[in-house]
Amino acid sequence: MIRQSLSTALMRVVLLTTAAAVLVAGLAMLTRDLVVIRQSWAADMTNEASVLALATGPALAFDDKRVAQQFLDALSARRSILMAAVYDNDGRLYAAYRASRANQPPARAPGLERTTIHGSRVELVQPIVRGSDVLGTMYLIAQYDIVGRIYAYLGIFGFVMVLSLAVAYVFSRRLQRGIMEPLNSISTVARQLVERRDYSLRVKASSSQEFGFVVDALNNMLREVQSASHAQEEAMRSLQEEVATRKTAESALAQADRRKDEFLATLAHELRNPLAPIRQAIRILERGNAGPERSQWARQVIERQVARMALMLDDLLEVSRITRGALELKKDLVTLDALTNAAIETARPMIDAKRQSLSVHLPARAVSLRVDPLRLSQSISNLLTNASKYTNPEGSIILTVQISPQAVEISVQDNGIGLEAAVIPTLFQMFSQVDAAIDRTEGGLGIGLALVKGFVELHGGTVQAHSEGLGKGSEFVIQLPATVVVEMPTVTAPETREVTMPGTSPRKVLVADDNRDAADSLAALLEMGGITVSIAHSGREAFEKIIAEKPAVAILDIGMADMTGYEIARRVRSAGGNPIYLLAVTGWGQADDVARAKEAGFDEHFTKPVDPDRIEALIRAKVSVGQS
Amino acid sequence: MLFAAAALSSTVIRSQGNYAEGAVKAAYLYRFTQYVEWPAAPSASFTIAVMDEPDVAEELGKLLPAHLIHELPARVRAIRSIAEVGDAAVLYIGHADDQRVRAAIAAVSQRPILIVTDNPSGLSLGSTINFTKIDNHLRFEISVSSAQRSHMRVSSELLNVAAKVEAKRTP
Repeated sequence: MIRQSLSTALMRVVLLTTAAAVLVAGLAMLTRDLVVIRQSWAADMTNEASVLALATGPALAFDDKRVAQQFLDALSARRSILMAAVYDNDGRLYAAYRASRANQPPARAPGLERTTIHGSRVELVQPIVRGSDVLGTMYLIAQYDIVGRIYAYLGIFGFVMVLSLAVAYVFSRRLQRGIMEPLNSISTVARQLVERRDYSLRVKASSSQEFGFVVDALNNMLREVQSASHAQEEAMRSLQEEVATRKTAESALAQADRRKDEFLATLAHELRNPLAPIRQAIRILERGNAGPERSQWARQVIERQVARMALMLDDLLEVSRITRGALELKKDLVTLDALTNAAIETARPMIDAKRQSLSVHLPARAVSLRVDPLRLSQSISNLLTNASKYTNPEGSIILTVQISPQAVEISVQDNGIGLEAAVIPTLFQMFSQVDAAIDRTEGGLGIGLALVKGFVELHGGTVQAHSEGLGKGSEFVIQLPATVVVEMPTVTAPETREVTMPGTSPRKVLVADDNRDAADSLAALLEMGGITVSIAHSGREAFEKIIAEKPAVAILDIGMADMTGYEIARRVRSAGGNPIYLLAVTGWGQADDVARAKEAGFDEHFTKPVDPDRIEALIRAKVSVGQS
Repeated sequence: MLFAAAALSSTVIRSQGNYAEGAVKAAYLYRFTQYVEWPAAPSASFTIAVMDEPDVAEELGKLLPAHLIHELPARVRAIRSIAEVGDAAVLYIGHADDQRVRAAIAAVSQRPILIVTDNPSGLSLGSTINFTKIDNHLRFEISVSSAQRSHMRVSSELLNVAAKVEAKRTP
């Protein structure tokens, strides 16, 4: 089906209606006219006949054919009359007139009075009467021009039809403009809607009331659809965002989970690794025939492997604290030198083992920082260890500390294997290792950098990694806020650094453990480091010695039979006036253990096995720098 | 009555051929009354007086009883002297000499009587309608002035079929 334009259809309807109306009216008029005209013809003929009868009556009465003929001949002026005849009283033809196209009149009178109409032909028979006397008969035949009349009508109709159609056309055009303009604007908008789905379109307002309603309704509907589709799009977008977020979270979770699994596997492996050499070293020692050199070597093996395990476990505990948000910094004043030295000492063995060079650049002036000395030095040493690990033997490592008014910047640079840009963002995540293979050979749990990040962030700082690519070396930078810096008096001699703490014996450390070996071995280690150590093998003895000897630091085992470390600490703290630094050493490293130790009055909490080096470093930090 | 009139007409109307002249004259006299108006209608009956021509009186005697004239019963009266004319509305004076005709007309000329004559100089003698013969046909001539004198009006239809009409009074 051809989709017709509404305006064409409308125009067609108007014109057809007009034409039909004119046609019907015309036909009605023609019909009526034909009926009426025939009646009027009949009346006309009757009148004609009556006049003729009157006129010819005396002629018949007084037998004057000439006069009768005169009257009949006068009919030649009447074109419609074909024939007229007068018959005398006996029915004989008396006088007649006929047009040239007509037949001869009958010789005898055609009968009684009548009027007949056949189409356009009228026949009339009428008696000629004077008073009560019948004088004769009049016979008339007339032929009217009905075809001409119909033609005339058709001409008039044609003219009227053309005129009507013209008028209808003009009015229809004007009407259409009123109807079609709003309709057109509606249909234009509707078409654009279908094509573009742009619900912000609006139909132009219309002056016509009905269309005005339609337009308003359509516009309102569009508004609704628009806001609905907006809301839908909004909902869809937020849904997509949510899905995306969830997917990211899910994949992050999955990745974290995978990393955890990998980490656990690594952990088990790493923890098992030292066990084999330890077991073998013990076997060697057990055999009586091992020479002193071999025994010495075996002990060193055990020492190294235990240290390694202890380090790993310490790290693990710290990681656990960081992830649980349970780590609390123990801020203290520490010189930058002491901090970096502690870190370098820790990393030195590995750097030396790989024959790498380490250069250190520190600010010229002496600077003290209010930080957690242990955690920050561990952060620096982790970076150094990391640099060493990913740098080939005989490579170089540079440790630089710069202090600006804005920040303290600690940078560790190497010329090692470098980093791919892609891995930099994941470097500081927990359990991440850039290259598992390297890590395996070098050992480690892959949590070193995560620890750095955790520690630094607890200090309000940041840590970042830079590398120009694989093989181009890398640089790790710790930035701490400038607020951690505490300016020291410019004149500081090395002697004045070892300030004695008031009320404590300088360099005096008490080690208390009812495990005699543990106490003695730790004491021996510390003494070898030049620290004066006093030993207690029970809780009570420890408490008495603290009171009597006033050591600067006391390292107390918690689980002593006669008096627990907690109790000693409480008693010491409650006695007051004693600024002793209390270190708790336990086999339990859980958060509540730490909290309990703090509550009892301990300054620091160590989990067994204690790394003697760390304790020594701590003691040095405590004892060498006074808390003024 | 129409049938009777038709039958009668068919016997009397012909002025030519085999019909008796008296019968034609009688019929004409009757028909003249239909084309003439009198100043006042007669009271009881309409009388046609016939002087000096008994044939015509006889024919009228057959004709008139079947007809009304001006809605009055019609009668014929045959007279021998003008004195007998009485209340007649029509006076027909038959074949008489000029002298007798003139005297008769003079006797009634001022009365509303239609005077019909059959005399070659009838109109000049003062008659209103005068029979004449043309091509052996019975025709008639009319004097309008005589009709006026007698206070009568002759219909133009009648004038139309008259052989001759004299409009002015003859000197």
